[in-house]
Amino acid sequence: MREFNVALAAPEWILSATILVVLFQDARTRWDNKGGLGRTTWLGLLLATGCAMLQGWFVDTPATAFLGHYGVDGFSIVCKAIFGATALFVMAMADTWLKRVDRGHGEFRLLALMATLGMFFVCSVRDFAGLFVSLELITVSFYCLTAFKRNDERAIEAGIKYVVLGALATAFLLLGIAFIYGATESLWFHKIALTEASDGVGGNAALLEFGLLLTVLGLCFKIAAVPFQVWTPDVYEGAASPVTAFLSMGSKAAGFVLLLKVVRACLGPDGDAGIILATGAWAGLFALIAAATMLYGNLGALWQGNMKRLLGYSSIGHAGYVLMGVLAFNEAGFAAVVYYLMAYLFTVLGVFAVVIIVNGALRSHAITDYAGLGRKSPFLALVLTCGLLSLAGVPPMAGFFGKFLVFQAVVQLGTPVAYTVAFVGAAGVVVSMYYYLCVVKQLYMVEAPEGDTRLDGLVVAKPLKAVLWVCLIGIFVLGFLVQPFVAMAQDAAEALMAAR
Amino acid sequence: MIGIFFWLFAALLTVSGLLAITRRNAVSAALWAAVSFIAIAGIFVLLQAYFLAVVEVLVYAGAIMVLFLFVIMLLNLREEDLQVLEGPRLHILGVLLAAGFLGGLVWTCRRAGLYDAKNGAIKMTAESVGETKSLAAPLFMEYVLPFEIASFLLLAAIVGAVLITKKRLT
Repeated sequence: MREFNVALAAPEWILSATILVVLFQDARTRWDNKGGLGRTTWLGLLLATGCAMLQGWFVDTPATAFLGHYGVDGFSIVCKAIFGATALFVMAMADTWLKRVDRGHGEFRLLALMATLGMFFVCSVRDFAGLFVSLELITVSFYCLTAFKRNDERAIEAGIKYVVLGALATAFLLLGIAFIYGATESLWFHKIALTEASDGVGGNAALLEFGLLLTVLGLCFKIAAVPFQVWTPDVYEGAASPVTAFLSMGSKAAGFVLLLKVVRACLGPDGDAGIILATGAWAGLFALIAAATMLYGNLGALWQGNMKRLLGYSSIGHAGYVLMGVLAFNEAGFAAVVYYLMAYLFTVLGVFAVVIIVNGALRSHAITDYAGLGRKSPFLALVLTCGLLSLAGVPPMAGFFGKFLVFQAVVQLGTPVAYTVAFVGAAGVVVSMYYYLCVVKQLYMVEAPEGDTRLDGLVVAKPLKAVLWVCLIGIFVLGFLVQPFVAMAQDAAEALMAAR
Repeated sequence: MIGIFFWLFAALLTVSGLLAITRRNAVSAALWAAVSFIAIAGIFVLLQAYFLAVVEVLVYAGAIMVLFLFVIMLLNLREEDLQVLEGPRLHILGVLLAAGFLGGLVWTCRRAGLYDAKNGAIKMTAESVGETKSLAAPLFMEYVLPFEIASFLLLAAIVGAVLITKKRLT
């Protein structure tokens, strides 16, 4: 238990080495010869992701390293696979997108790699010190990535908004951790449950509850949930499209992984609701956040004419659905969250891949400009349609089963609060159907204006085409062949519940 | 005796913190912030965390404050360039949120019995708590992983700073 055992962190070592190699390679190559950086990045990401997945077979889980501060279990392996796939997809999008940008290739790849490193650490941290630094590693990388197009006013505005709100959320998170440290006298996640058990009333419990409240609010910034959701549409619109894609999947999933770990730490050692979470107030608080997030996201999306702003609001709405899985406070709910994230990965990255291709031709994100895409480029329109229907939760798609599991977990609780939040969620799904279908209508039912040839003859680069196919297949596989993936999510949730 | 000094530093911290966020002039705001850092250092001394107190003064009140002032001087903002966030509604909302937060804090401390003198006393686990050793040993043994992640955090910040500020990226 108390050993350094550094070899266990092999995926992170590979990523760290890749970062250093790219750093020196960038310094040693001329500006017009940056292709090698891309190859190094791809190799590093593939090796790290492969290594993380192989640990599922070759490591006797759960295992710990760094005196127990770093852990590998079924949950962390599944999450690392999700983050690795996200980074690979985003890198494929960035390869295409960077061709339109004549500077900063090395910096882009470095920052993306460092954000990925943070996401890998997020899966394995077992204490609040690790939680904080790995989360900040992701956030700081994204501050810079958001402002990447620094000649673009909207990108700068997005960057500043993200930094200011991010700093506020970090302050909440830090103060929360300080209170938890004061109550438990340690930074370990698992000490929370022990403190709850030792003095359930008064004294430290009050400090612990206040600290947890602040920590959860701080994490709400990462997952784009109320009350820290306001940055989302502006940042999504201002940032470059691959960055937005990375934000909407990687950054959000990292927030949820940590939220799951913190909530798990509050449950008792046997997975029963801990003394603090057993009080109705906490279920009520999570329900309130989830309901407000779903309403804000889905109602806000109704009036959007810009594709990326629409996806920003829709991403807020999805944070609300995933929160429903968290607030179940049990294994079924956590499994639903993991499955939802897997489905969301293929869905949202497929949509963003199309957005990047279309934007390359249009130089615009207006939804009205998507008119006629169905006739001019049927494959792109098909991927976009399937992605949007999956986001909406239409049955044969991956998104439907994500939503199904989440709603099932909540309804099974059987409390009035759970029914209310499920009802709000169902209403949100209905509303979201409208604005997703409006985009689909634009693709197929509306003709492009006469003489507008911008969408004619779209050429899709090979890596991006691969992303499109993988996402399309993923959307249907996770919709039809549900069982193995649900089993995987359940194993991950089980490992999370068994974590000490 | 220590109690008197605690209240002295606490009052100084509160007042200078409030002044730092209410001054229109950026230079005086930064200087009040420096005063608040010194007050924090004083409280660290009372907690026998001497090393932290020194670092607080050296790094925050010293290095970071110089950096702040340097940037403010470079920007050279005039009074009329500064826009005021318009609208009393925003102000009222901000005050309400701050009051709610303060209320929650006070209520929590009351529930936890921190105002009670015997509960409020801070437990000193070791004699040498204020020395560098008590900081260094956990940093390089127990918390070596977060320490290493922090080094990548700094690298990310450096790369990002280059990306955003460098005139010509080639």
